Order: sequence, then C-alpha cells, then structure tokens
Amino acid sequence: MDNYYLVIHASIAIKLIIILFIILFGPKRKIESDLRARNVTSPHRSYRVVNITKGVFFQVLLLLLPLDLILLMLPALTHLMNVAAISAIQPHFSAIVPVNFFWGRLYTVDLIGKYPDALTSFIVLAVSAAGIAFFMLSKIALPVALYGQYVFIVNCISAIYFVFFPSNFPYSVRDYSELYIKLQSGLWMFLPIIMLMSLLPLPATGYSKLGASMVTFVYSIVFGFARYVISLYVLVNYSYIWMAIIFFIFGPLLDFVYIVGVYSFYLSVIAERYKGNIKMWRWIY
Amino acid sequence: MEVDILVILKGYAVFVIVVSVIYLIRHFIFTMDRVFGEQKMYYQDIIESDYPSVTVFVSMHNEEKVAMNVLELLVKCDYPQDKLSIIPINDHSTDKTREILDSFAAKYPIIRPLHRDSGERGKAVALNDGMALTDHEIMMVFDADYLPPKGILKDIAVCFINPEVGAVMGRVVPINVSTNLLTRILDIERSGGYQVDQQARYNMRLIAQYGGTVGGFRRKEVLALGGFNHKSLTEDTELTFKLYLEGWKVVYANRVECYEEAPETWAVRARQITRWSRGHNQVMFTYFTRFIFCENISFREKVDGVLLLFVYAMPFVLLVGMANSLALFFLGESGIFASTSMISLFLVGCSTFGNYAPFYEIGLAVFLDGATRRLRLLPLLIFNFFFNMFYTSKGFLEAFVDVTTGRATIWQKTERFRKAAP
Repeated sequence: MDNYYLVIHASIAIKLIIILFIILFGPKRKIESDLRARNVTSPHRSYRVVNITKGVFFQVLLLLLPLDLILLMLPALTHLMNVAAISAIQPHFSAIVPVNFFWGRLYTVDLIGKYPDALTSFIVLAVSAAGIAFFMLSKIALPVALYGQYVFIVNCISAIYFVFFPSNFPYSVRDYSELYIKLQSGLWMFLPIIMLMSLLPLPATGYSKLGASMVTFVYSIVFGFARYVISLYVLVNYSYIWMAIIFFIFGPLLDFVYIVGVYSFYLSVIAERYKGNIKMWRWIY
Repeated sequence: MEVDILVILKGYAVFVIVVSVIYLIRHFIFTMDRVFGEQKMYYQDIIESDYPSVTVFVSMHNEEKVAMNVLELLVKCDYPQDKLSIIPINDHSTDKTREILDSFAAKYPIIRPLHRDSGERGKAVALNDGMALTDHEIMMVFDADYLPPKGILKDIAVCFINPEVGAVMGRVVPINVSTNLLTRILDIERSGGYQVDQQARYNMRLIAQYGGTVGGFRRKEVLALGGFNHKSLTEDTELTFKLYLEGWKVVYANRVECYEEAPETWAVRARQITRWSRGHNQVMFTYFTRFIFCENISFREKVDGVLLLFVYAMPFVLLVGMANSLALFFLGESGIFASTSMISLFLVGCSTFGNYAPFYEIGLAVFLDGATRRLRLLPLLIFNFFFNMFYTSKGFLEAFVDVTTGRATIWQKTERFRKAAP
C-alpha cells in the first residue's frame, strides 16, 4: 500500500512540474483579434476537418490529473461510502471489509439484508405484470413504452424468482457491495480516459477541457456515492427483491447518460463559441 | 449439464464484450479519420461536356402528397435534356398518383410514367421493369419524398467517368428536422451515418454503401448481375455487395446533398427500421460466405464488409446479451463481473466505451455539420438505443425466417407526412 501511494504522488508531482514548466516557458498563446473573420467563407461542411489542437502534450497531462486524483482517493472514498451507508441505515450489525483491487485496496460493507415474504413477492409480481401490460397497451411514445416494459420485465423476473426459489437467492449485501464498489471504481478509473479521448480532439483550451472533465468526475462521485447508499438502504430495509432492478436499471447504463450529457453540452458550447471562426477548420487535409 | 449451460452463458457474455470492443474500435477509427484525416472527394472538379445518358427512377406507391414536388424539381435540374429521361413508377397506387404523373407527362416530354397495376409490388421489381423501358447508360434513383437540387444529376453522373465506378451515393439530409423530437433525433443519427460513417469508409477505401436513393448505377452492368432481387427488401445493400463481389467500386459523394422527409411518428419509424434490418440481414445471410472468399476484394474491404454485413445483427446480439446477463445474475454468476478486478474493469470499459462510441461519432458528425444546440439531444439517444435494439432484432428474426423458409416478402412503403409544398 505504501508503494501504491508513493507511485501516485510521484505521478502527480511529475505532471505538475511539467505543466508548470510548459506554462512558464512554453510557447505563449497569441490572442488574435481577427479570430472571427466573418467576411471569409467558411469551408463547406462536406469535407472540412478540425484543426489539430496545439499543445496536445500539455492537454494530455492536464486531463490525466483526475486519474491520479481518483487513484489517490479510491481507498478513502470507498471507505467513506461505507461509513455513510452505515450511518444512513443504522443497522444492528455492520462490518467494513477490505478487498483487493489491482495493486490497491478498496472497502466493502457487510450488512444483513432482508428477504421478501411470500405476500410481498406476489404483490410485486402482480404489479410488475400489470406494468408490463400497461406499457404494452398504452399509446405513449414507443421508446418510453419499450423502456418501461424492460424495467418491469426485470422486476417481474426477480419477483418470480422469489416466489418459487426464495431460499436460493445467491447474493448477500456484502456480495452486492463488492460488485458495486468494483464496478464503480472501474468506471471512475475509466472516466478520465473517456473524457481525455473525447475532449482532446476539440478545438478548445486545456483548462476548459479540464473543467468539463472535472464536472463529470465530481458529478460521478456524488451520484455514485448517493446511489450506493440508497441501494444498500433498499436492500436492508425493503428486501433483495429489488436488487435486480437496482443493478440492471440504475446501474452503469445511467452513468453513461450523464457522461454523454456533459460531453454534449460542452460540445454545443464549443460549437456556439467557434461558430464562424474559420481558423478552427481545415479543408480536406 | 448445469456446468455446460453456465459455460455457454459465460462464453456468450465474453463474446458480446469482444464484438462490442471490435465495433467500438471501428467507430473510433472512423471518427478520427473523418475529423482529422485526409478527406477523399468525389469527381466534382471535372467539367464534362459529354455527360452520359441518364434515366431517373422515382418509385411511387400512393405518393400523392409528395409526387408533385419531386417531379417539379427533377425537371428543373440542369442536366442536358436530350440525355435525360424521368420514369416515375406508379406501383399499384390507389390514390391520385396516376393522375399527377399523367399530368406531368403531358407537360414534359422527358417524363415517361410507368403504371404498374398488376404483378408483384415493390421497389426491386419496379426498378427491373423500369430498366426494361430504357437503353440509357446510367440509372439514378430518388425516393418520392426527396427534393433534389438543380445540379445533383450532373454531380452524380460525372462520377461514372471513372470506369471502375459501379454505383454512386449522395448524402441524405432530413428537411422536416424541427417537426418533433423524433425528427430531430433522426437528423443527428443521419448526420453520424453520412458525415462520419460513410465518408470515413470512402476515405479509407473500405465499403462505401449504395443507399438506393440519391444515387445511381450502370444499367448494363446491373442487368448483367441479374438485376434486382424481387425478394430483397433492401435492394440497395444487395446491389452494393453484388458490385463489390464483381470488382466494382462505389463512390460516396458527401457534397451531393438531397433533402428527404424523415418519419414523424415512432410507429412509422419502427416499421422503417424493421424493414431495413430485415432486408440488410437477408443480404447478410445470403452474401456472407461469398464475400469472405471473393478474390476481387481486398483484405481491408473484407474486414469492413463483414462488420457492415453484421451491423444490423448486433442489436440482436446485444438483446440476447441482456437476457444472458439476467440469467447469469439469477444463477449467482454475476461474480464473473466482479470476481476479478480485471474483468470488472473490462466490463465497465466495454459498457462505457461501447455505449459511448456511437454517440461520440454522432456528436462529432453534428459538430462538423456546424450545429450547436442540436448537440444537446445526444443523451436522449439512450431511448432510441432500446427502440432500435428491439425493432432491429425483430427485423433480424424475420430475415432469419425469410432465408430459412424462403417465404415471400411484402414491400411496406414508408408513410409520408407532407402537408404543403416546401
């Protein structure tokens, strides 16, 4: 573990020194007054290409900083998530359990979950079947109807499972916690790389890209944190019957929606800002 | 026995991850090539004095709402009149399409309508009948809801100066973008498909696709290939692969833009995408083996062609993958996602990158198009993801039944929404 932190600290220090060096001694960005040359015809959309961003190396270093940050924070963050979950749930029994993750360590929680009784399982089954029928027969927009059916089908399968094989359910809260923590940590580690790949080609400054990346990153941490606490609360207080829907409906697919959301908003801001700026474009090659 | 089922389920999960990664890499390469790479243009700089003779086909089945617009614009095109013939094909219409075509024929001698009142209905058979009526060199096709600009026929025809070119495809742009959320979403999807996907494939000398409208092909050569298959619902995709198998090339002309009417209701869109998927997968089942072993096609074309052939099968693979992961979950095997750090990281990577890549491609395509606020619609494509997955899978299964039972297919025309001339 000591080596783990040593490597990350060294990585951050090296990046910061290089970034500082580039800021102090690197080529200065010239603010040109004729950036918006409105009288010049912009290249037609058919074959225009984007000008390659200057200072790519500098931007790569900047955009990789959140990766160091998350690697540094992961053990403490996952520990904090479990502490928060325990304080929100107030269980009779709880234990924070460390698990290995690559060369580092993460923390999961062991709590006692609740099994649904037969009546609850039947009610959930009936409501889910009614939900499927409603979305199949309703006149609402087809994509919403299909998504609604998917949600209720997952829930229906879960209810059927608990009606017929309640004692065979193969997971505990601890299993769920480990699955969630590992998947969420994996996502947090990938997030800076996704943002690097998607933001780097855009014609904008490294600082604004770092801003967009950090907004996504902070949102992801807050969202991941809240989702974890809420899902554990549901499993402990309202039963395992909801685990499938928590995992399949409110799982990693939702993360992807806000990642695309921030990216698309940032892209629209860049597009608006550089509209009519012919220096952003090249023609054919 | 139980062990065997688990092995199959786990193996399928790995298979889904692998193919997702392959398609992710494909999307990423296409996007980077289009945004930063050298762009391959068509033959727009050639000023030709001797254009080839051209016949334009517009297949129509109950197209009274749109027939007049497309014909008015086609007669205004600047193509030499002595080398141009327009054959609107009235394919079993029961509305006023016949009267509209006859009135145009009376006014413009270059318009020679073909009224089909008996026999099989459908675009493929209509085009075959149309080709029998002309001896012109180049055949061009527009759908009835299209609004061709003045110079488009010359732009397409000039590409056939290259004797290697078997077909030419232009870019389709929706005109009714601002009608509702669906048309806006379809507009950005189209942008991704043409501005990035088609152009990148053309840049990289891969399989540029003839799309059956805003395009053209050589008559004699297509007849030599047996004309269009009456059973095919996507005669355009079939022609693309037939041409490549015979060593022809397809030109994609991104600058040759033509407006179309995008579906305005989800039900119409569902039928359209089901038909596309059914037709495309028919082609996949029929041509996959021949394409793999064909000697006229380069290795890189084969790789791209195979990925293109399977593109409408992927949603079915993903749908089964979702069912598979549900089965694994209830069998207590979700641990395969979390038991080792590497697998969980890999799964998250595929989920995020795999889902993200097409959106990334569409986002940058819309950016290249110069759009601004439309970009904010990207997250809404998640609903379209489920919608497309369901109806494309339906089309895949129908194609499977078509191919295995040899059942006949019935052409379903896309409903039009035009209220007044644009």
